[in-house]
Amino acid sequence: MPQLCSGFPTGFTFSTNLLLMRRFYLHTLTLVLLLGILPTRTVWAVEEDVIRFATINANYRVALEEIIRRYEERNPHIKVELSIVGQEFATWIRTRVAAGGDMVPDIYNGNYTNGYDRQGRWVALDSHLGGVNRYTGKRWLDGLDAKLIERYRVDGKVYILPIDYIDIAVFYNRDLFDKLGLQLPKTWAEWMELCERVQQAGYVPIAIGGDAQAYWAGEMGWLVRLLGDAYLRNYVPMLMAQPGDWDYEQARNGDYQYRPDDLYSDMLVVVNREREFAAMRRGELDFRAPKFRRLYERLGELAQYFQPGYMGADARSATQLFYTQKAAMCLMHSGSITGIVHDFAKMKPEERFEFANFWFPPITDDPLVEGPFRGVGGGGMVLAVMQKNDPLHEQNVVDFLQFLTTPESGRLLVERTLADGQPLTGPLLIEGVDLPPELADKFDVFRGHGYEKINYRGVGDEQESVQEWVIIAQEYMGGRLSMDDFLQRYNELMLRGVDRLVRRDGLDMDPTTEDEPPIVHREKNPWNPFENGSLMLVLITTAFAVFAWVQVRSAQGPAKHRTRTAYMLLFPTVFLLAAFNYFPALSGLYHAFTEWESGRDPVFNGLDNFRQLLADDMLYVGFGNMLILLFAALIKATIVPFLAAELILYLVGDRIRYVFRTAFLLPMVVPALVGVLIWRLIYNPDMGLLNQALDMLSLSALAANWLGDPELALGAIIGMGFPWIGAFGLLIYLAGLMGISPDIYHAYTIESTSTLRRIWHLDVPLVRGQTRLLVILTFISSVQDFQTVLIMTRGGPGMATYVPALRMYNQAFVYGHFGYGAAIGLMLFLLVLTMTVINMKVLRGEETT
Amino acid sequence: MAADHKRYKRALVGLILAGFALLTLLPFFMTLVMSQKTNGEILNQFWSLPEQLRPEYYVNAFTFLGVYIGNTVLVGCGTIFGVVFLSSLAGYVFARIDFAGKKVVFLLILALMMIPGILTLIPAFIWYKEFPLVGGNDWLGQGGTGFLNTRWVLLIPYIASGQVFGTFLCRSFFESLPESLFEAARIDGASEFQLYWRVALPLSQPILATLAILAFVGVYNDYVWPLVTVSSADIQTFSVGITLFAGEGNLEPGETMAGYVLGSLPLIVVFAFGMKYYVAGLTQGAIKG
Repeated sequence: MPQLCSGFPTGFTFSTNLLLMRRFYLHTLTLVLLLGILPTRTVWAVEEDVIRFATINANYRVALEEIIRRYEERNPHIKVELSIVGQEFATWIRTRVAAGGDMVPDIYNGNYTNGYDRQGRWVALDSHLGGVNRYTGKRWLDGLDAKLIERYRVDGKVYILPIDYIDIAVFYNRDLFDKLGLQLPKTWAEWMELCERVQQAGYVPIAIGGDAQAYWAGEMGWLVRLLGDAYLRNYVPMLMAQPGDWDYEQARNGDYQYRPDDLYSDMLVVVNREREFAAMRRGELDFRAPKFRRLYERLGELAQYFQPGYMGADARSATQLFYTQKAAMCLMHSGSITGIVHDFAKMKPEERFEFANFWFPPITDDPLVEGPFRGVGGGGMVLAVMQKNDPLHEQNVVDFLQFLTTPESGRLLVERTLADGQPLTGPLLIEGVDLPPELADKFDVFRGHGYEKINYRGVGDEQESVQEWVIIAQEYMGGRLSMDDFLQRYNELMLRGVDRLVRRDGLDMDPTTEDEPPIVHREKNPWNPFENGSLMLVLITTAFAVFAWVQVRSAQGPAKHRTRTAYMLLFPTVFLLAAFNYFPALSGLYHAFTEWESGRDPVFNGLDNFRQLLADDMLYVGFGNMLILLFAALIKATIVPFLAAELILYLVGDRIRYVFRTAFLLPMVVPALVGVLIWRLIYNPDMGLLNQALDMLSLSALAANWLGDPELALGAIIGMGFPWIGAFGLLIYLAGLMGISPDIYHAYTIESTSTLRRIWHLDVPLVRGQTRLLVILTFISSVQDFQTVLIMTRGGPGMATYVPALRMYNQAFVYGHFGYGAAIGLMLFLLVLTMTVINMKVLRGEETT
Repeated sequence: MAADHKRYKRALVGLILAGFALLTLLPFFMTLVMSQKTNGEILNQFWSLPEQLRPEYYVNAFTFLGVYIGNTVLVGCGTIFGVVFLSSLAGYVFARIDFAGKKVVFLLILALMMIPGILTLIPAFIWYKEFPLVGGNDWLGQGGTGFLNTRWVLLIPYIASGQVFGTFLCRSFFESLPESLFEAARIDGASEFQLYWRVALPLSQPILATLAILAFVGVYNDYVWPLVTVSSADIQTFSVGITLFAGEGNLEPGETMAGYVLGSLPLIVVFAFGMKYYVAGLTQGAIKG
């Protein structure tokens, strides 16, 4: 499940609930004021309006459609447009926001566009939450999980509305526990002891996904945050707002006392970001401190009980170990429960087992630990409302959200989702919504542990630092980085992240003042052809016409006629390209010279991006991998299909050739998803086909963790798709070889009867044109390709499979730095262009000699 | 004796190829097998056959995905015609006409292929949205939604970008045709367009079939562009439809696999049809005749 772990450092508590009352008096006041203008407002409110609701939570599709149908029935003047966006949600949102206008959604999963909260992109929901939900007649906040909403508070405002809750827990095979005579552990030490006994009994104690994805947005990431909160919560007093700070509140900070055993005591506290960042810069918050060392030692202690190949495993292969009863425990999130219950109901009785789950037992023997483990999950569907500066529209959007969070809608959400055969993410945070009894007791484990306060996988939610942490954390856990080196690099990456955020949000590092973020809104310059497609179209068409005219004029004799005909025949092609392709391409390249942060408008910044590019170490590490992948791709695209084509042509009979041609084409229809699934199952270190095959051949010494070992991961990616008979290359070579005249063959076979010699001396030179074509196309596609590594390893473990194109994608659409992403793109473009020109010259030169 | 020897060798080559074909087809078979298994079966015994047949997976998949598959076929066929016509024409011009400025124009077209798609995504989205005088837009491109959420927003870029690749492909194929064929027709007084239509096209069926297949596969596989530009299910293509159908982890992944199998049927038809044009001896016949 592609949930981003979110870690907004704010929270709420029962005991200080009263403190919030002050705020709500204010809201009541606002409400009274609003009532004064109510008559006019209701008149306007019947105007037609469209609410755009985009979500990644595709599991709720059917339920949301039904809720929307009912809403529109009650409010006929309002239409709600639902967009379910599965993969690439961030890309979808960022593209729309960049284009602006009506197509920007009103409601969407806010955790995918980190930073929009501080850019004034979102509507603060505080006043609405304090108002009455007209569908329930109660205060809106009372029907929701106020605690978790508190946790999402940023700079004193609530922007995020969590609908459901997702977190991890330890799932265990109860039958196996009974068989081994195991009791549920009460402390961390007991848990370790239990793991030891499980291991000695020949089972995997704990199954977990440990690939880069799992560190970034999965179980490993959650686990680190779990430990982090337990060790680090005493930093709160040092980092919170002090009297005089702009965000200081007596009720939240002044009355706060550090009580590590009270799970909710620090929930209301406001952490002042400038104090936090200053503490990091001054070294008061040093990531090389003993606490951090101990935290990662604990992680290592636990990891010795993970399945041996966890570094290369995804969550699915961990589940597989659990299902097949090879693992006694499995770290899974709440979204897995529906699936397990559903699957077990369909399994044969002898395969089925009783499963249950327990919360992480506290560490009791470590003075550096502050208290028991608290919840680190968050909203699964966390909705933000886009600021469109239209109060009436905003009123309608809020009205819909209120309808969405009524108990009736909540019940629909649960019932329809389950009836549709989709999983529930976790318990709903809407009051009065119960889960079916067979699920309820499995979901119980996730509630009542409090919520994390302070955590540093990266600097807050800033994805660039989080992903850098993923890399070094994987390297440390894989034994490639010593603890000292790891902590050193951890500290450095955090400081870099702080620098970026200070710049991004325009912080002056004075905690007493609230800083306006540099919200850049800039009107497009209509005379800049890179920003005005129509102008670009006119310019390019004119340039082409002039160029053609000059060429025709300067040609002599029959060449003049030929040139004129050529340009006339090229007209449809060039027109289409000028109208639709050149503007996006040139505009994209142009933005390499701008600072263009997602959510803001681009501003020209000259060569700044290229200065950053020269100092970007991650880019250069990726280059080596890219060259290796490129070299392999060239062989796979030329030699292998050429030999396959020769083999097919060696066979006699059109029918058999037809069968083989079509057979080698068929893999083109296999969905990438299945390809990844299958190759993961082949490479899986614990139960994969490759290691099992090596075992059977008594070559178990060669068995390895193919995707989890940094030495092997790149090779494993190259090995995918074996025997690599690419359909495209095969067809190109077949067409080429079939085009060779039999007369030439005939003449040659008189001279020599050896087929191999014929292939070498005759066929290879004759298909040189095809080879050149394939080389150029492979070069282009291979340099640009990031999808393969993205879905297989996300560039991991560590940086083992990182490539520049992946850096470009991450920068542009994951971190939201379009301008810098464009600069990487421009560099890759120039590289490919140069190589293609050289390639054409070289191969052409060979031909003429 | 020599003939026998050769027959053994052929049989051996056939076996090797069959082995490779089986390995290559493994993912395809596994898709078929998984389309009949429950999630428990997939996780517990991945490599085994399903316990029972579950036709309801296919029924459910078709009910949801039918319209998306139809849309993909429609856009795919349009793309095939556009790409094959424009690429072969431009490819012919670059391969067989010697004209001034050829290299520059060719490189300028080819360069379009070298720009990473991610870079062009946002500008392209804005441009298709603000295309003047289309979809409610005024001449400045404001006021409407341009080409967005129409079939044109798929068809136009698929043809326009597909032809860049196609031109390159056709050019290198046309270059390898013997000049003697064109000489003869030129002497008979044929125009360049006639040479293209009467001589080059009939001889290049295999490469045009390849191009058609690739154009169709391209439409079928593209995900991000239709996702971003099309919001209505009546127009949306299969790759987006299947992710909606799969949801966030359909409890029966077999249904999703069944959806993939159904979605690939039009492609398989195109393959089977296209491969018919892969016949040896076209050029040879032409030279002799």
